[in-house]
Amino acid sequence: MWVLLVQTFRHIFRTRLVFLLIALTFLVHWFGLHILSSMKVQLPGQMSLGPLLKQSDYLFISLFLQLFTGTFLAAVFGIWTVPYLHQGQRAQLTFTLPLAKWKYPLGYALTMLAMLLLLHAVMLATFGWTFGWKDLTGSRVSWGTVGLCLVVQTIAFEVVMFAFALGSLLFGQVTTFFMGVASILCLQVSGIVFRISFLPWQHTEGSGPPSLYYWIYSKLPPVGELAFDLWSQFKKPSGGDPNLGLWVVWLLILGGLFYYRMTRPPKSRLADG
Amino acid sequence: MESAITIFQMSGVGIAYSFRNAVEDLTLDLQKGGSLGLLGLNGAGKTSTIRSLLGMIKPKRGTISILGDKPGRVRNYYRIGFAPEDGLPPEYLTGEEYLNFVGALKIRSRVDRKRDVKALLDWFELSPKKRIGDYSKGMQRKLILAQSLLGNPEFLILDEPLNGLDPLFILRLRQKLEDYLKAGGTYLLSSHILAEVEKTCHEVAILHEGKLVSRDTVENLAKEFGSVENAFAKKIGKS
Repeated sequence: MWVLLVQTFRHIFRTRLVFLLIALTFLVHWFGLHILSSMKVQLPGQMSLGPLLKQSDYLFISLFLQLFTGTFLAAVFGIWTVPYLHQGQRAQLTFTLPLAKWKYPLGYALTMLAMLLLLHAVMLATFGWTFGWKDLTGSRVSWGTVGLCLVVQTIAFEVVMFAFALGSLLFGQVTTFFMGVASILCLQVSGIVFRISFLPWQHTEGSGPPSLYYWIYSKLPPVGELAFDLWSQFKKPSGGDPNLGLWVVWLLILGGLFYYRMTRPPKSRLADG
Repeated sequence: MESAITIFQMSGVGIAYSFRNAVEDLTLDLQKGGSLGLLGLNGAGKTSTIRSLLGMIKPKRGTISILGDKPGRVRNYYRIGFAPEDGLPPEYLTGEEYLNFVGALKIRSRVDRKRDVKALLDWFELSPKKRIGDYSKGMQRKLILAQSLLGNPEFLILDEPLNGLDPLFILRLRQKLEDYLKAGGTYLLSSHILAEVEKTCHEVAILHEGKLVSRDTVENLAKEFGSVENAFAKKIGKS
């Protein structure tokens, strides 16, 4: 296992993914927080009402921005890094290594976890640097809530990473990139649509039995619910289900499928004589 | 007298891809200390045979055992060295790093691993610090052969090992394979180069359109047909 982890980290460093990730995360958070914190309500020629948002709102915004950087990481790591050893001319050499096939999904999940921890550290560091370390460690924010949100995000990005990796192994990199982006977009739009009551086939609370569309949506990875789940945790700590159970179920399903794929190299690449 | 140990045994094996049969009713075995050359035209089923032995393809029919186990068992990969025809190691690594990566999985002792990796880099004349992506085709081929020899495997499977190698190196490799056999190793080698198989293998199996058409010693084939090349041409009906 250790050998695989070292190998994967070497790949990440050599392809400069880590440095790109740190830079992107820092820039997204730094610019995002600076732009928002400098916004004020200004009535022309009269008065200024100061910053619009509270500190806890900024932390939510940081977590929200993390959705972009985390998805970026899951896509790049899932589409290009994870399948690298298992595709094309490398597949046979990797398949015959004396390494149990279950160690591959576990190893990639641990590497992703390490990078997500780095991502979270950069996010918190940028927050502290922007607003001051006292604000970060002050008691005005519920760290339990922030912790739960980070756990949900971490598992969600692991799921997205495995989905991208499986797609890349099955359909190729370019197809997976576009299919993945389209799927995420569809799920997010569905999430918004199901919350805003304007379509006849949608389900809203108390409106009778759920429609088939909603039933299917509610069983899929809750990508479209993620931002709402984070927000509901901030608005009402210890209230609202952040869909943690569903994320874990999908992590197990996709991790299991990835393992299954590791045990079976594609026939199409082998059928040459 | 010591009884022979079977390295692999294939009985009535059939391999099919969608609508095409790659291998039909193949029965083949190899005893410890043997060297078997697998000959055939393109698409004869050589690579499919090798891949089924390694557990990469599940045969539709028949049974396969390798080193007393089913194909694809991880514990067997410690004992098998494999050099695929069209393999490519990770290009972002250096030659030394790649051999260390494979060696770390096959050799427990760090001291032994360092020694073996250095010996192989020297023997194959590979630049240890150069990225594999910057290696020539020939050097990449040598690296694939080098990794197959890591950890002193009991059984070597070499799929078209001579592709991309220069003639001088082919002579050295022939010697290396002889030494490996003398040390108690066993190998299966597939090749298009009939003269080379004649020089490096004691036995030859000829595959044609997925079927085994001949299995005999090089000596017997040479006696009967004059050379392995003649035997091959006769057996596949091209003469």
